[in-house]
Amino acid sequence: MAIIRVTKKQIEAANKAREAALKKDPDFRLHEEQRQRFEEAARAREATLQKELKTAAARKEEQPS
Amino acid sequence: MSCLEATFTLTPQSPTYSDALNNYAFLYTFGVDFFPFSPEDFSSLYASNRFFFDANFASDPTLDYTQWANLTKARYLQFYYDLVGYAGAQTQLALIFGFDVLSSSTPGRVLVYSNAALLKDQQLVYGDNQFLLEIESLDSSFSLYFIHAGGFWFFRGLSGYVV
Repeated sequence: MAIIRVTKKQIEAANKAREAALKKDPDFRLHEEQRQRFEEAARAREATLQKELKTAAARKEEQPS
Repeated sequence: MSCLEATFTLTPQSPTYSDALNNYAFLYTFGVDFFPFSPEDFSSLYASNRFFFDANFASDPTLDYTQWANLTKARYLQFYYDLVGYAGAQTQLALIFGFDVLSSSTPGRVLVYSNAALLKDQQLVYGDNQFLLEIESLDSSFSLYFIHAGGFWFFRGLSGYVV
């Protein structure tokens, strides 16, 4: 099986390049902002779901058997 | 023998992962192909939980896909993760890229990019079905881009193992 190694240095270089591209390219910045908005909405939905699951589990425990 | 269970598996039907530790992984897809016939039609691909890529619509392998203007013209999968909740001195991510190649006459081709550089020009060989990425650090979020650069092939998914 082919193996591709991605080093910590390469990750740091990629994140630096991304930051530079965000400053340089307004189209890329717009795309990334939109992507982040979708992700934040998904994260918020997930947080709500986890909270509801916790509450439901706590209620179930409180119920007399 | 026991097998290590994947921390997450992202597929066409299940492209997101999140957990209570605030870890996330997402699979984005920008451009895939459909034929009217099985197994490359929409219904068959949905049933088999795969994407199909056609060689005739492959991205130009000579372009530099760290440039946004080139990336917008490409067909690619983007894998983004934020697994900082798992980050630690020795923590790594083993990522399996799953695929099938349609015929032995035309191997697939995928360019693996970060935002900074081409990491690997990977050939997808008929009969093979996966390759491995060893990602050394989970200290920050990170994106990988898999550019469709040739061949007729199916994408099956990404399985991540935090180790």
